[in-house]
Amino acid sequence: MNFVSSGQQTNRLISTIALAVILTSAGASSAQSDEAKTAEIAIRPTWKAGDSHRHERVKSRRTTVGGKPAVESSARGPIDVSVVEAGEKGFLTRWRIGETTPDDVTPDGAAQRRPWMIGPAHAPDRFRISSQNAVDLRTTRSLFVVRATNRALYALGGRGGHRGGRPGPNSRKERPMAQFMLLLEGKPGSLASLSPTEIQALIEKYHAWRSKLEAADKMVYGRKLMDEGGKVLSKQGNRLATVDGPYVETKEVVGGFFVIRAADYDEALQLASDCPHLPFGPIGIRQIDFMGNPEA
Amino acid sequence: MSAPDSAPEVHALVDHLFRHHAAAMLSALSRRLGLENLELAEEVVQDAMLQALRLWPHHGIPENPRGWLTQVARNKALDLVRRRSVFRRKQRALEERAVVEAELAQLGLPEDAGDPFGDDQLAMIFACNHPALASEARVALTLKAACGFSVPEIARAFLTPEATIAQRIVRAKRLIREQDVTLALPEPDQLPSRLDSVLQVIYLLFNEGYAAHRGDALIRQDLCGEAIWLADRLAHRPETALPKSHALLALMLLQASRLPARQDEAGELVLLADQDRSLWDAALIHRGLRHLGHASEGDEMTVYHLQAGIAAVHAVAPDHASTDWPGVLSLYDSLCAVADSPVVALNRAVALAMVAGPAVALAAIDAIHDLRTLERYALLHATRADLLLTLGRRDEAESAYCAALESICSEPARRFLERRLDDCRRRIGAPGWLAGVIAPTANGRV
Repeated sequence: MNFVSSGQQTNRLISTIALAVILTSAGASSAQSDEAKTAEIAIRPTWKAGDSHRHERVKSRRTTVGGKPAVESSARGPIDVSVVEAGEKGFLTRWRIGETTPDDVTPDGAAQRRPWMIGPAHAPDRFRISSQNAVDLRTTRSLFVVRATNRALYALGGRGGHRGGRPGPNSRKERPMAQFMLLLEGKPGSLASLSPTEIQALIEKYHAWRSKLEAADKMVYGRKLMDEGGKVLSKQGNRLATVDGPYVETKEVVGGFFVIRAADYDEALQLASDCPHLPFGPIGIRQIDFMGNPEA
Repeated sequence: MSAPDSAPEVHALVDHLFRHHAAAMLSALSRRLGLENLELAEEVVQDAMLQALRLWPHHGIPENPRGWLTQVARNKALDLVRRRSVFRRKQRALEERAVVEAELAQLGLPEDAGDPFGDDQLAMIFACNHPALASEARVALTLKAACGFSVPEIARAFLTPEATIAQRIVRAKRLIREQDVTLALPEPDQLPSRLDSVLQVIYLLFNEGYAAHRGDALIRQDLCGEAIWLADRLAHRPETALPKSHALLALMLLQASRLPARQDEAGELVLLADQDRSLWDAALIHRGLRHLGHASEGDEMTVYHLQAGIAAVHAVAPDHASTDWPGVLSLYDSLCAVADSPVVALNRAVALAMVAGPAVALAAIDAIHDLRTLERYALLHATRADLLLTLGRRDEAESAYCAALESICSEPARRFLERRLDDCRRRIGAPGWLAGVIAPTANGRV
């Protein structure tokens, strides 16, 4: 829905792209408005590499309290989408989001329901068509889905593995920051006795920390490493030797990592300083060497 | 995928999702593995929770957290069943294993909406409150197995050493095994009486939390919340939605509505008479009154009905002086008739003071049967002291305040009594509550 055709203009298409995070699973498929019935979207494989399109992006947020909509707000702004690559399997695109301006708060919550919409707090890097009636907007951090009513969207999913991929030149200009790797060290099993409530509280702290970094476009990537296994490979004389590791005695081991953006070590330290991991172990911080070409 | 993390101001996880989901999974797994494998099920659930703790910070919170946790727990349980024999009857182990595996595989993934509370969890509550168990053990086990509390949390809530709580739970589990308790709802003819012991434990939980002037405030607030949550679930299940369940729920909601006004900014005790009633939680009062309505749909009149009635009179009174005191008094009269105890009689006397004056009330207190059992009960002496002071018998009042201070009482209550004693010595007028009265909560606590 919400892809509004502007008639004959195909290249400078004014569309409404609703960026969405699915809040409730109910309503995700049934969100249809009258407007959507007439709306056709011009995103289809007729796009060519190098095409550029202007859309209108609507970010909506709906908070529910006790199952009832409490606060609804939306903001809109231009979004320029350019096609980096087009093939049978879909598009690889990048976009730039202009300044958004908030709409008035919707007076009638029921009529304007968009139960599946919430805008991301940061600029997405690319999107691809991944299934019928849905466009995946993929960023290095999260996946969110735009539902479109247009049947012309192709059911495709070929372009996997783009998380953490190269941002376009625009984004490169916007954040010429260095990247730092945070290595989270800890003793395996040190959290085993936490209660469910304590576990939840800790997860929420991490979530808040991540969200803060994401909102400021400082978070690139994070992953946990497997608890079990681990090998250390070394060359001893003429032959390779492997030992199980990295458990050198019961020392702290790296259990996971994050990659963040920061101007320098000072900022990286400051960003890591309220990481909820700290009570459980140290965080090693190393700058990633891009050979002078950040995020290359 | 981490959908919700683009909206940091929206709460990522429902309050107590982990606690309640742990309880739900524990019940579901125990139902399938057999209650004798309760500890195994606990391990599995804890493992699933820890896995979330290790993964989610890096990968983001999944779209359906409950479904994620259930799936992980289910897979771990399946793995366990396949790897080792967990069943007592060896000759049937293989056969049972196949059944259990099939059942586990079918364990549903919940939608991430609403609070799950299925048959399994209801059965678990009844198992935790099996008549073979002492009430202390029932309380601990209910919190552990039906509510998802950890042993340290229970210990903090009851100001009891962890080892004691752990021991209680171990013994309770052993008893459950010895008695061959199965995880099933009681037979319909036994259900109402089995429900009594469940309600009793829920109210015990609530009162532990409500007397929150000692111990870890946060965890005690949780106790009130948990008791209300459990009663609310019972009141929504057709099997257990008896009038007495509604009555208990109403009672707790109405009492909890006053929690925000019970302490001032400095953390000092504020008596019912002096509470800022605009701080009372109107939503809780509303819910309480609604459930009180449901409670009156049968002919059974329990102590919860009467106590909820008293709480309701207070809840709807615009201020202390214009409270329907004769109404309160008559409810206390009924309460004395069904549950005569010195504490109830003392609370009745407080209402009596508002209706008939301090002299009559004082006489009523001195006539309480078994008054001696309240010798160490601070509220007895404090009430007598206030009445005596109002009657101008200062010397007697002073010694009664001193007796109150020598009794067991919380720190804020002690400071409160010291201020009273000071007022008495400095001949400042009678305490305000005989324009007002000490909060006569159902169990005599302020």
